[in-house]
Amino acid sequence: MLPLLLIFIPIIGGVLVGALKLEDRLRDRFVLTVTALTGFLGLFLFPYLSEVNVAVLRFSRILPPFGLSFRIDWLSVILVTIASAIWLLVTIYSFDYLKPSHHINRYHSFTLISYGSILGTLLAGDLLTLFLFFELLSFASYGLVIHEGDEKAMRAGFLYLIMTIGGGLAILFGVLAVYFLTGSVTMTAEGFLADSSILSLLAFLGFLIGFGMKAGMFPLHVWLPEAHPVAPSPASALLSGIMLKVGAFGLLRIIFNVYQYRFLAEIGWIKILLYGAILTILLGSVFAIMQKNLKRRLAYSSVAQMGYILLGMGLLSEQAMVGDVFHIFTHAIMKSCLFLVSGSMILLTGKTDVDDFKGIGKRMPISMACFTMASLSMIGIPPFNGFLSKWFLGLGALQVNQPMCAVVLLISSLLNAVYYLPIVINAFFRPEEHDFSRVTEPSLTMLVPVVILAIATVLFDIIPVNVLLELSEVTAATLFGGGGGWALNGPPQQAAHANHSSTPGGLGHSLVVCP
Amino acid sequence: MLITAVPLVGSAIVWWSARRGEAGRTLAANLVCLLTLLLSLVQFFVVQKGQAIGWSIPWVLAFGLKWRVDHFSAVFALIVSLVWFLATLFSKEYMAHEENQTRFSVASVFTLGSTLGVFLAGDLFSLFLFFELMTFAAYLLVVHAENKPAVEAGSVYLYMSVIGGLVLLGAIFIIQHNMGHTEFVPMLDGLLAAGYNPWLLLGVVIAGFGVKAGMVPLHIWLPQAHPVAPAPASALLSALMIKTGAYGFFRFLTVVFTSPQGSGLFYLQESFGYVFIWIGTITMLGGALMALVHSPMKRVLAYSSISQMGYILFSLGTGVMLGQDGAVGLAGAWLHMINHAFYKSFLFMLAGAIYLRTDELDLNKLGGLVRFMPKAFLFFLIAAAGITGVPGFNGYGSKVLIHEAILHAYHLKGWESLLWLERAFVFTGGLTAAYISKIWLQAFLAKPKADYSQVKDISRSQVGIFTVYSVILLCLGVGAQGAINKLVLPVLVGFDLKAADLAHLQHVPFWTGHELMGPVTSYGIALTVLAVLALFRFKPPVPSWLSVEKIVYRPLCSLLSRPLRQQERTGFGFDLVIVGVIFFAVLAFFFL
Repeated sequence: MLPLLLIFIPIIGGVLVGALKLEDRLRDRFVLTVTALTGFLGLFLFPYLSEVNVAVLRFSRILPPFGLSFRIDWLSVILVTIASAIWLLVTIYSFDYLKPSHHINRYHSFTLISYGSILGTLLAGDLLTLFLFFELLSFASYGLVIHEGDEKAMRAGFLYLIMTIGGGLAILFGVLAVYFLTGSVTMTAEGFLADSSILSLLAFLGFLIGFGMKAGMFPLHVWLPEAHPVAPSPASALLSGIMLKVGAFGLLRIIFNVYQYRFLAEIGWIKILLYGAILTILLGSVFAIMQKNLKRRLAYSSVAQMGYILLGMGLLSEQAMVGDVFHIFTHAIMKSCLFLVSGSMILLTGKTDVDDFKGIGKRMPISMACFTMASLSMIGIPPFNGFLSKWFLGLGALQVNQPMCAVVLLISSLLNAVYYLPIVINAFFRPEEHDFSRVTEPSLTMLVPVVILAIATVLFDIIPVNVLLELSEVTAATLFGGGGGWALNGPPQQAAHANHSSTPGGLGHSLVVCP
Repeated sequence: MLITAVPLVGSAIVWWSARRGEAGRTLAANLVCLLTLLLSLVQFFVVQKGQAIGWSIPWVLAFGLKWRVDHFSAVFALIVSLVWFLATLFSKEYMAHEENQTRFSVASVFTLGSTLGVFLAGDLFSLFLFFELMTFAAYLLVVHAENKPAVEAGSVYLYMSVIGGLVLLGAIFIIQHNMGHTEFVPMLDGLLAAGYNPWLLLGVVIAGFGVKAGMVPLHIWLPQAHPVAPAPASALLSALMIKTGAYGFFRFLTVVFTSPQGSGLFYLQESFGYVFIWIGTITMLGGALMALVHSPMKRVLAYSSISQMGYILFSLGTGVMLGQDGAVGLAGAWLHMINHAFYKSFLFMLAGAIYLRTDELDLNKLGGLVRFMPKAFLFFLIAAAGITGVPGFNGYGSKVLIHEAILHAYHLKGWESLLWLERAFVFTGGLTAAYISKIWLQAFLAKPKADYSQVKDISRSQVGIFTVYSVILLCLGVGAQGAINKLVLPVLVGFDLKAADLAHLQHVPFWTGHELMGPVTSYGIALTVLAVLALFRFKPPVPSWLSVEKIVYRPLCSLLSRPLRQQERTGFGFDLVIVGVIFFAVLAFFFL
């Protein structure tokens, strides 16, 4: 039942917020409760994993004949956890941010529906369920992109909608092809597709286009720098911090749980992803340097950073995968922090360009200090988190004999420095050009989430029990068939083969321990 | 470990105590530095008695931080904390007229911690971490003034350091991947077995540490950044922080890039050393020439630092090239690192003291200060004697050693080029004497160009600090043999060097006529050079474009950023050009 609760509590909550015209304070409390409750329930996914590594839940009576199925493994659980944590922080931030805004009900409604559908995508156990929630997410997030309602937003939203529908169709094609080839769409631990036919290649390309589009892979990234800046800042933080990761997550599922990754490596299709990733990293960074608008720069930076994540997948080395999963967390934390701070800056000053923010560090020292920490983490300066993911990715690249990828990582770090450091330097060390005398730190509910995120950018490098890193290692081991349990839980456990017979009645709910 | 942690945590204490007012902050900063100094002293004696100290925290950064203190690290940790303590004392008075003193104190103490971390790190990974911390903490010192020159110099410094750091990270990737660890052990044979080109490896390391070490042509940030920082900060940057680069070279050339006996790879070490002699020569000559033609005092001193780093690299190269016979070269480099730390910080603080009284540092505008600041003049002469290697002052000892080393190399190898390099070394000594004399001649003795009659002499606390310095300079000069025995030889014992050379180092003929002629030659050359300079009234007609930055870096940068700027004007067109170029480059790389 738990996955259903996780998914439908926010979705129903979102519909309720949209339908009932609640009074402002009440609505905020309601939204907060729903988000916090969902996040809290998400923690109960961990008990599933303490006994077995992978749990598959089937609900065959929902949406017959295929039914919904959910797959709870390390990858999905930790992504649910991180998504919930950041969602909660961003929600807290958004209340004060949106106060001067309009259509607040609509915003919260779409956010909650997106939240539910993201959790659905992350927990999906077969390709159809995945596709279903993925599409729901696309339409719900459209509502966030066009929130401002002006012409720019509508144009960006239209571009996003067209591309996302195209991507969805590509995925649907892939799903159909996979079903045609194997007669199954349920993900397995080892992957079940190792077919070198043209159709199989086309299906792979379809998935690559669909999920790559969501993840901002070059050249399918064009919607991203249009859509992220026009959305309200908390929504941009969610779009860049969490939603892009869903695309990456989909690709991970395809590479490891649908196709067999050894097959992909042998036949060389994975190279397409690898080259795409390299282009994404370099071009994302180069374009980011050219941007004048702060949020556009951040959006292009997201493109580049998603390139890191795609690169980690394309390398197919276990060490790179550790860095990859770790970077999914890290980037979620850093980028939401950056977007939230820039949201505060834009809201309080009314300026949007990078050059406008000279001297603002004197007025908003805490916010800009957080921005600095997140920027340094982006560049990959130790002791910030970004360094650790770069470290693992670089070593992984050398491990599979791709030193060029390591060089690309280093070049990209330099480019990151070129477009992040001027913002920081301008803010702290240049004289003010505009009158910021009335600008102060934002209110506490906007400041605290930012500070928490900024502390998190350094925390997961220096704490003794590095939960995120250990989780990444376990995930990488599981994906590569090591089947290792969480190091904190003692010796690695093999996935147990125990079939629970399906209990009749109810929703046709059955717990199957996956082979 | 504790020694690194004290200042790092201490910086937080300083920040906290700043709320209790200025006195509290100064007290806290001084106490933290004093505590660090005492700890380093204890560490020094512990290490001198026995074996290296090791310590590690396995859970930080997934790979763990390691500290390992051998004699090498302990000596430098002691010097760093001593100079830092003196500079902190000095900064109280100097910083009184500046803003943001709290930020300065905090950043300074934090930089102390990370610099010590670099010297005490037990493996490359930890070294890299502290190296980057130091880069960013020192940036705060460089941009302290927050005016346009400071911000621009700071940016040049920051970007070059970031590039250097990334290149270094590339080297660490290679080492970690092939060796499975990054500790300082001989690994040249292992790396070559893995199929790496030795010159590529050397290039990566040179680019990684060379930026920090102020090596020509990677030095361009240095003459910009050091002068704009407040004087105590420039003293620290110039005297200590650039030493981290030299320290990295030391570790790499004498340990990491060596191989066990009999692997037949010695020819590589020999050529590495030879390359370093040349790099050192270019650096010291170029630095000295630039120092001669500039007139802002701190800029002269900054170029002088580049030149002095050249001496160190030169001597290090000699030592490495000779392998087992290279004891004298290594000793010279090591002693010069110690000596330079003292007299360069001394000189920068003197410049600060002068600036404090006169608000002017341009040598063409200063003049006649000897009448109003006799004590400053006296101290300046002592520092100048130190840097130019007047017998009895500290620079003399190391210069004698370096000179001996290069002659020794010539006798062993018989290469004509080495003799020319020796002449270049002597000539640089002359240039050093010339630009230092230029400073005290112009600032103290020349005709005053403005009215400095209201200028008071340096304050009592400054006299105290400078006296400490003078005593150190004299001790290291008169007791050069003792310094070698105490500070240098224990370091060298760990290496595979010939016993005869080590025995020679215990009885260096410092006071023979032949060696005493060295400084005389220097001042002779200096007199000639100054006479030429005087023809131009100390304003030599050097075109302003004559710098590596203007000739190489600026055009390169504008070439690289041209597509970006074009795009601003023409819209979208140039995006596609870049896209195409990168696309084809990547394709070509992978398919060829």
